[in-house]
Amino acid sequence: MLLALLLLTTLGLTVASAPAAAHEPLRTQIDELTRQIAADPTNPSLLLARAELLRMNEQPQRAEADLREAQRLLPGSPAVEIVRAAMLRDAGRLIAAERQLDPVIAAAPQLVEARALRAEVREALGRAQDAIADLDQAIAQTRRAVPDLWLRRARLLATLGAAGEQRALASLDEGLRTLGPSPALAELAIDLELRRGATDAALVRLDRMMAGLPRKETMLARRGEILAAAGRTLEAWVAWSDALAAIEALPAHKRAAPALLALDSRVRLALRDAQDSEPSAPTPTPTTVRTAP
Amino acid sequence: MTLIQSALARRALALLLFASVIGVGFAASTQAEPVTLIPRLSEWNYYAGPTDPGAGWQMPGFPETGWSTGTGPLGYGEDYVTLPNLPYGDDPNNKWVSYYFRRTFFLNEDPSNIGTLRIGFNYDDGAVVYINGVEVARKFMPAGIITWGTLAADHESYDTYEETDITAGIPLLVGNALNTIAVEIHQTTVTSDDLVMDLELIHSVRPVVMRGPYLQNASSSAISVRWRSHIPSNSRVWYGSAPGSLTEMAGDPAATIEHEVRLSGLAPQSRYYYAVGDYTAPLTGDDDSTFFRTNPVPGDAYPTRAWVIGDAGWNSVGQQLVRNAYATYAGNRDTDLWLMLGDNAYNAGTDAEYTSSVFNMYRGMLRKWCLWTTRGNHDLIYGGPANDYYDHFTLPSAGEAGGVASTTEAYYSFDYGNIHFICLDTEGTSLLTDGAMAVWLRQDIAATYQPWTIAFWHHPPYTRGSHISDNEFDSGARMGNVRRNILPILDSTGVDLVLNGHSHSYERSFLLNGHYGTSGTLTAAMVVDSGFGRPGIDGPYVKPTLGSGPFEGAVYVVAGSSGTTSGGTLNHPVMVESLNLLGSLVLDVAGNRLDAHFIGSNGAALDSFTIVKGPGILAAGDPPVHSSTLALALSSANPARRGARFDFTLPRGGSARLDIFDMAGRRLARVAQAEFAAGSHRADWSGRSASGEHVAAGVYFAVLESGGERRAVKVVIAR
Repeated sequence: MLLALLLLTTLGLTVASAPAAAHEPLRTQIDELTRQIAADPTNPSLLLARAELLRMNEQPQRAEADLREAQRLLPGSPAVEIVRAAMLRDAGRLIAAERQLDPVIAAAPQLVEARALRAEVREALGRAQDAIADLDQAIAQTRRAVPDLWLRRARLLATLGAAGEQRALASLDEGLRTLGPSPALAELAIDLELRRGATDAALVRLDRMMAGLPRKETMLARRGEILAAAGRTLEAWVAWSDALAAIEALPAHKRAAPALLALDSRVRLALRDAQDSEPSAPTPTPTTVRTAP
Repeated sequence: MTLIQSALARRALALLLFASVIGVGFAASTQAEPVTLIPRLSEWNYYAGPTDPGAGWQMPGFPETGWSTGTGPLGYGEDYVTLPNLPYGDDPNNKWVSYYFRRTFFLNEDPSNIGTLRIGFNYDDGAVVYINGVEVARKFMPAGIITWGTLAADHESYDTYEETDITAGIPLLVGNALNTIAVEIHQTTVTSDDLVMDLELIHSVRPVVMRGPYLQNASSSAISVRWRSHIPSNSRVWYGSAPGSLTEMAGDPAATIEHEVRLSGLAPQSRYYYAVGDYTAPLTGDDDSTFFRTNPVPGDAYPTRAWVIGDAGWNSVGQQLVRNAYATYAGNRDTDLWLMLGDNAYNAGTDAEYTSSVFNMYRGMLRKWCLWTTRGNHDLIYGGPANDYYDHFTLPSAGEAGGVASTTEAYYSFDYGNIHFICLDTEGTSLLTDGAMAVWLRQDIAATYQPWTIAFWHHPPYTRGSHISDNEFDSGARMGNVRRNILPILDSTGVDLVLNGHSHSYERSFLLNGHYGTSGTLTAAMVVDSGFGRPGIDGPYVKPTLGSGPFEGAVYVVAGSSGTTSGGTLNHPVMVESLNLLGSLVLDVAGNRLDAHFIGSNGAALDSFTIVKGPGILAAGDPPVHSSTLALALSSANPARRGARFDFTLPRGGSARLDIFDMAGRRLARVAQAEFAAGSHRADWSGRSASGEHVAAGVYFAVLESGGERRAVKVVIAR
């Protein structure tokens, strides 16, 4: 949205009423913050909040004045520089944003938020390696389990060719060991294994993830699809029949969910196709309940 | 992922950095420093002679007539004793056997606050130590009565101070007063060539509970008990079925001020009383108001009461009023679980703010009700020791309370009976559809078998209060992102109720499905039931599936006025009720019925609605779900000063009546009752009750009933 507005401004396009309408709530919020600042003039957080709204409202000089005042109230704090960097990032001034963050991180390398922000900026600049370096530090410094940091790093690594994919998988494994069975990390690892043609490795990961799930029908169907894509039709048939059995074992209201109905159709279709291509495959029946592999 | 997306996020960030730079609001980190009551090398009064100093020499107030004074170590025959040497008589082959020492010390402490008491004792050869006349230690001395002539077993001091625990003597101490310590030293032989006495007396205070106890991460078989003490100590929880009968215990030997003990192997749906303390003894609890109730077995349709507060943490009179109003409303009814919708402690969620706005504000409630919370934009993280939202709480990241493991405390799920609760993080976690939270959510919500699903997080998808969900500039577009990216997941898997804060108001929607754009994109197809959802007025919201039926609609509630109100236009079109009033939300789920009440700070129910799930399960007297073109509209000004005009349409001819009800569901007036032809009709209400009196200013409902169906509109009378 913000980028769209910036583009409109850059291209000199005018929209008669929409901007005014869009900015009306901004002015309301700025007025409210101005009232709060009048009552609490030494609260830097109010100034920082108003600064961002002012910038959005195309009042950069007033925004900068608020930032300077916040800086005066927060001597020695990198907060204002980080806020300024975030504003620059939002404005698409990525190089300036990075330059704003560099001294902050040099002075306080443990600031996870600053690291994560610079990683975003560097990624947007197309410098994946530098972004990864910041995420490495953010992950090392964070006191909390933040799966998104691991996910972002792995996705960036995976853009760096085969070696990057290998590093991404190692990173995901490290994340899974550190965090536990994060579904997002596990699913990305499966995708990466498949991308490099390692079907068995993907299946091992899928089975590991499935073991921790109370519901397995989706994973069983996925197993069938992976096997089918690898040309292992009979094994795919087994996985799909397991998926079908798992679906049929669900309560009626679960089976009636559109997602389940779609999955059911998909599995049945896959089974039929498998049977057509593999005449030896038996016809699935409700009694072909199998335990998950 | 955008980690810093909005003014408010930056505000939190700024404050956390502010806190970390100038060190505001950090938790007390007092070390368990021992307190020395009598240091080494102190001055002692002593008696040395050929007899004992007289009966009662150990007692407080003993007249020390003829006693001398010297500085320890006192004695003779060693080069480290203080000169002059103590005398031993005239005959070196028949030296005096025993020596007596006394001094007083002031105890500036209540003895019940003392955790340990010990002496560091430099003595040669044998010794007995007394506090206020009662023996507390005996060293190398025979059992039985000790006299001046009693000889010691052999012992040499080598100028070392031997540690001896005399904690058992704590009850002998007198608080805020002078106490007396007395020591007698005995030789092994009358020819002993040395004698030594010096003593230090040290105590450590007992931990004092500064925060809590409070209950976290409950399941049907386990719960975490947390508290904070002012000095580090080990941790222990005693628990049992009744006060005074806490027969079980669990603990942790590690010294800490942030105590957390996980109790496991508990029986489901059972009340346990408990106490917390260190390995020495309980510090608090073991009474009628310190208990918890374990969750029911997942799937059991146990009647469940949940209390929901949002943006409460202002440490204000308003917050107190809302708290007290709920306490009164609840009465003796147990509250089974408690949800906080974020912004729990203003302005930045520092440790000090959490102490005042949460842990002190709700002290009695936190001891009894398990709290589940989500993070708001004012809840600080990475703010240094204890200034971090996640340090205050223990939330399930491994699926330990039900649901799929999220691997993070930022977002999680848990089961309570037949309800699956989902907590999302809209402040610090990516809201993208391929973000880690969305991936987890799809797995989690698809996996639940519970008939009810209730989701909660901070930023509302629909609001026109102090925040505006249509405004992409507001809150870093979080409200739009959650609406676009998260609601489709929830709708597709049948969420029933969504709870949010952020706007400091109460806004409650009708039964809504599939509305992911701004308010201008709302269409009739998204309205599952436009009524009030009130049994007795226009009937409850009915969802056909007793389970997670997809796309059957959900009710959205902004309950962010539990500490203050901040106004706004309060006219979002999905909302059937928008109030700039303090209050909290109460949920009661029993089987296939959910009742919700918004309880104002005056204790009145300012709004209510009911959701019923499953086919053919309407409660007796409730009208069926809407299915025809029966329609009712208010065609006069609203609010009205005198009365109101209504237009209504009947799909077919027949009997119809139009009544006026108050908020409590009492019928006040009948506007019309007759046989009507199919088509449009009009009726006027004078603003008077059936008795002819003008009704008071307030909110009323006009209810049209025909053909077994009802429609209702709200009428506000302002006089």
